[in-house]
Amino acid sequence: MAKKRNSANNAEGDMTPMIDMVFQLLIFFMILINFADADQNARVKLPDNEIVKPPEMPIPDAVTLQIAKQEGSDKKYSVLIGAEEFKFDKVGDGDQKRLKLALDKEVKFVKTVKKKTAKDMTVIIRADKDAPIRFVNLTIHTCQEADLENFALRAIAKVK
Amino acid sequence: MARRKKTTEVKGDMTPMIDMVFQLLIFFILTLNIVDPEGDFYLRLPKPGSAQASESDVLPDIMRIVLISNTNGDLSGLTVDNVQSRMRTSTDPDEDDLRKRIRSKMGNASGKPEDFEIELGWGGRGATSLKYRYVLKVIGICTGERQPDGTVKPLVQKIKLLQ
Repeated sequence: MAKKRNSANNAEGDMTPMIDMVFQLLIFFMILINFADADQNARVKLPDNEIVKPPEMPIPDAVTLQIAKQEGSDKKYSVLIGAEEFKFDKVGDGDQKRLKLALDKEVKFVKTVKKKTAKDMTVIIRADKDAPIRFVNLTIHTCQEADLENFALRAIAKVK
Repeated sequence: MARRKKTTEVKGDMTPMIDMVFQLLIFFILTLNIVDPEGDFYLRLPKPGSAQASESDVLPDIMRIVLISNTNGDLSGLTVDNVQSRMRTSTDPDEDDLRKRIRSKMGNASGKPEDFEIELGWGGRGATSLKYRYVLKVIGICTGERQPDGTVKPLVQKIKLLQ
């Protein structure tokens, strides 16, 4: 009886090294994972630059605007805040006013909750590298209408 | 002998734990996305006031760089205070030439170097379709220079975009 059980145990093999390895891998991936970059958008291809450095700490009171190519179009671009998309072409368009209202809401939130003003806030602009400057400028203009004046133009930090 | 038997019983079944660990491992592998490090250019762009210098004025503490683009939206040239600047390739500005001109004007400026300002504008046939990457590239050249040891030597602190 004892003999039979022993041989069955031997066939199982020693699991310890495998479990050790799996734990190592698990810890490796857990450390590497980065939930903070959830505000990225696959449609935005950022330009690269060798001067920019990754910020040491996250920018406080920031609003992130993505400027991405409109789906199904190769010339037109739109602004995204989270999943909300704003398609406009000039000042006064419906979506341009909607974007201003959305920014006003962000400013109001920071004012009431954090007791700060629009001047303390930063707009992070993650614009596609091929976006026309006219559209980026129009977006900046809309932010200025909402009294926002600090901008962070985001680029990929390229090491030469 | 009986005691030894007891110690093997305490071991328990490892299978559920290994199952869970594998589940977690697969979750972390699938949700992992490797991203390139990103950085920012900080610009302060207040709402333009009513009193603005005319575009052709050459002021001592302000350097006006105009990016000229072709109809495709690619950079084809640039002017610094209304004077044509050199290009390295057809779409790449000559960085050294541009920085040299900025430094020489900064040296002659009446105010403090940190108050020296660059105004970026765009012109040419495809001015409105000029691609954002060229603007960012020129902002990078004006902001500083990467040294061989990896540090950045800052140049101009204030950059404005003309509307």
